[in-house]
Amino acid sequence: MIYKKDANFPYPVLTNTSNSYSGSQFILDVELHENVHHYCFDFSYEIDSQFINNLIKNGQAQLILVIQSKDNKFYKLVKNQRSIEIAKSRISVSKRTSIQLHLQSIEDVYFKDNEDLSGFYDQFKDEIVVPKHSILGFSNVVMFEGSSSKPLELFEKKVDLDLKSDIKLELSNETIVIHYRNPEFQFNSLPQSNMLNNPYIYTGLHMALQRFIVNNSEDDEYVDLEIIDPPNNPLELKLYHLMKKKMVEELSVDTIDEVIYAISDRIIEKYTSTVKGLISNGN
Amino acid sequence: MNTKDILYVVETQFKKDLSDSLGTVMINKGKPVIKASTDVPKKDKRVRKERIKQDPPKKKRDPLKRQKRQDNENGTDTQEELRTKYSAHPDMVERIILGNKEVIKFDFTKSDQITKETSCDISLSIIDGMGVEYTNEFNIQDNYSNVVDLHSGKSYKFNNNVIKNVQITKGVAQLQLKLKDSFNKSLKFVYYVEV
Repeated sequence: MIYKKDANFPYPVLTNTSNSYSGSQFILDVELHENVHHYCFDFSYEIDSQFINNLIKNGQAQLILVIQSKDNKFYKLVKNQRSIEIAKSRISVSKRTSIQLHLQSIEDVYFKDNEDLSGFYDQFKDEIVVPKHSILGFSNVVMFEGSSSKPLELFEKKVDLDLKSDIKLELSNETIVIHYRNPEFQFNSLPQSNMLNNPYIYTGLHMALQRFIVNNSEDDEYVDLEIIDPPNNPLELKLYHLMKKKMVEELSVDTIDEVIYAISDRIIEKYTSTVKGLISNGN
Repeated sequence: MNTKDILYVVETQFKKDLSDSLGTVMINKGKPVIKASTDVPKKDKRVRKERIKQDPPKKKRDPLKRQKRQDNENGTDTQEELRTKYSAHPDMVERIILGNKEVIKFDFTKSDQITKETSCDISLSIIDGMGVEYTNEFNIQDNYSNVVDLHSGKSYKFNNNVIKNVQITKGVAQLQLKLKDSFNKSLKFVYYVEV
């Protein structure tokens, strides 16, 4: 099982988002490699709580790597282990693979010497005893996505002479497709034709974000990007990553245009200046 | 016909942003596998010894999130209409079980939503590790024998699975709850606040 959402545990838990520990982190990074018969997960982690690191060193707590693809696989790590090899027949990476590192207590853990706790827990630490087999901390989730065959492409354009309209915008599984009935509609003969297509880009993004809202919200109006799981649809997943990269936290019907502005690079401004340039050149 | 560069500039920008945020692309039997970057919120590294009371990093995100009201078909209960229910983000709640008692602290100081309130009602539901909530499976009456304010010692009433009129002092509410024997100490919760 992968811990995806924050919840209130009845004792301090070391995570990257909870406030139980002041300034402590539990960071996991994973690289995926393959050879003929195996996938190899090379990982590194950083736990910057002295108390927790001592528990691991003294054998009072156990690190467990959780790899979730079609099912959950649990690997108890031995000291200094930084790699796990899995036969290709035992795991598929063609869809989503999520990986998280857990820390579990092996025996009852007394927190009275824990100097890393934040104020609330610090005042009770003399009394805190966490029973064995409890989760003491978990890392961020590292995800590998294997379904996309065009992992970095957002748009495609196609010419279709039989189109029933001059232009048609379509959301395919992985991309936003702009169909043109007539190649001339792409302004190919003009300089900077790419900028002149920006209004279609804008419209395509608008459509795609609308569908993103419908598919990822409970009420068809508002999506909290901090809370939702990364979408399974490849196109929506790309938009999700673009929005996350541009620090967009929320998407709603009312903010679609603001979000387009945030994730695209001044496409309307560039369109406008291109048109102005063409006019002033007498074209 | 030459259409290949028509979207070139715009696509290049998106591609760059996507490849920045997706990290390495590896090939799996001819199909790419991409790694989504692990954007971990960096906490302030504080000097451990000197426990200087530092302001936490300014977060614009409000830890209280307004809940949509379940449509009340008859709409007659006007008293009820005036109240607003919020979910409390786990980072504004801290709880600890010590023996047969539990202490819970709600910190409203990072929220702009209910700054003037002096009291609130509190409810909770079970949540599992995957984030799935079990709304009606935990019953306050069956699990806690009493609820008091940690500071004043004042006893709070609970009914319909809601702890009533919890006092907020300087943006903080702290409860001490006595556990019944049947209480499952491994449960995780999310909390709701109503004002």
